Amino acid sequence: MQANYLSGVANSTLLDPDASAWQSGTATTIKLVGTPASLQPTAAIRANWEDRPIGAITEVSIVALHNSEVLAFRLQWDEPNPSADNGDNTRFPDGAAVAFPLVGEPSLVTMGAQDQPISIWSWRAGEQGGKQLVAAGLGTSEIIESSQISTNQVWHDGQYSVVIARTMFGDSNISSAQFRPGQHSRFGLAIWSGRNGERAGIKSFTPAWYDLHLATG
Amino acid sequence: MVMDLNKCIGCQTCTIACKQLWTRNEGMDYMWWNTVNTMPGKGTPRNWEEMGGGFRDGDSQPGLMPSTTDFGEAWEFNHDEVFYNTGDSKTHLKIKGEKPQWGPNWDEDEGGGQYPDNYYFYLPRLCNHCTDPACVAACPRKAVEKREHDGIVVINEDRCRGYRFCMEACPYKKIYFNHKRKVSQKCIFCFPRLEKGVANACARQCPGRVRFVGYRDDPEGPIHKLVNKWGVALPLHPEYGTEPNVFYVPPLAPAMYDEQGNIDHSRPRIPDDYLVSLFGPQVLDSLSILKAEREKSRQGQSSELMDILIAYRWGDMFGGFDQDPSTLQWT
Repeated sequence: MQANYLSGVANSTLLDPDASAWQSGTATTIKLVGTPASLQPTAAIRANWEDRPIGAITEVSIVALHNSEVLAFRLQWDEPNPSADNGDNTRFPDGAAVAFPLVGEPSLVTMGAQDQPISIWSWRAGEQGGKQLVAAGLGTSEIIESSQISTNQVWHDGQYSVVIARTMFGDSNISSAQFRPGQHSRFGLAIWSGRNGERAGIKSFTPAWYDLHLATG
Repeated sequence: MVMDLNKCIGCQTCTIACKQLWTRNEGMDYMWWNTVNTMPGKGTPRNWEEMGGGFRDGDSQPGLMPSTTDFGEAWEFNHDEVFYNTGDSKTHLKIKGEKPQWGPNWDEDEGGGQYPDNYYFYLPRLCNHCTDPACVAACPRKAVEKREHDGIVVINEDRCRGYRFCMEACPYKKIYFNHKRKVSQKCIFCFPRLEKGVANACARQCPGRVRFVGYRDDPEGPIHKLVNKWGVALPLHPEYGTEPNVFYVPPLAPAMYDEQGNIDHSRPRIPDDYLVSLFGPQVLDSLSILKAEREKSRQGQSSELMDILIAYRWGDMFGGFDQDPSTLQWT
């Protein structure tokens, strides 16, 4: 997939999921699969999910754009019943994340490994802004406070459009993915369906990495 | 901790002591880390005994998530109208919004049995700070920790990501979710007090001298004596497999009436089966010991067990955690 370069487009435009600028990108449809219950990190989670379907969202359409300062991803997927925290314990928020390898060829199924961490940009319904995390194995994700992830979302006609964006480079944190025009990288995706009680390792995801090329001017 | 259910009067002073000290911050309105419920009853959260979790033969069991409604939403009242004269002369104190359908101790004093043999007793509950805590085992982020030096189970809110697997796994359903801060929260067994030698607020504030505090392995302390030596204090639902460290002295019931209206001492109003369902089969031994020691006391003989349970000296209930908090510097 190529992240097209839009010269001079405002950062705020890239954060608008309905902006016409997104028409200039190439949408890629990506299939997702549910994480296996048997690989969940604790016996209690496995016991609760071994007979329940994991991965309510099976397909995402993704477009990537950049303006040489900000790299933005717009994820779109069908969701008839969007979910955010409404104060009830049984209700979980929808979520989405884009992951990047930081070192080597980490496995996405295991969220990286101790010597092969992955970088994650995440969005949760109902929360202001996104979070950047680094993970080096199941249950190890840590929030990186120094880096601001911008997110925005709309839901209409049974479909989510979620933008997850960050400045491309300049973050000195070594646990943070860096991007420059012309760069080849890879990405993976995860979606959490709140109505299905999905959170943490209970999600749909891309088991393999997808190529990402950042176009130059 | 050991709680003597023969002495609990359901006054909720423990509940309020805990509320005042720990759960007054943002997102904690609906939290009652300590609850006292009438038994038999559906409890708090509603029907918690049917929600699963814990372990069976060492294996994690599926558990349900208690809803906020099951716990009971925090009620808001029309204080402005009543106390600040913004209402009219007919305004009375009432709950704002929808009429609640459940809350802490909702089924107060309903109990069980038929008149004149009806019965109830109170069951105070807090986090059991289990030896094998299901919440610790369930968390994929190792955000729940059993402290090595004192056994208190705490949630590290910096690690908690709000996934709530602990709430499903806890078979006692004593973990709450803070919807403002997006973290799970629960009883911390007043560890900042214990670290200064001060017993838990729920224990010190109890007017009935119900609660004993201390280390179980302290042979001179009340917990060791009631749990290990005398074997009268038992965990609630031992079959849940988590090995609670809160124990209960089971309630001795008044006797039933026979058909002539005479007291029949052979038949307790609280059915043995019901107490066995709560505390396991050992409860029958516990009740026998309690009755025998009570009888000894009645006969004028000395009974160490009765002396402990009567708690003549309040300070002796706290296993050495008997500092007066008003004498300490708190930072």
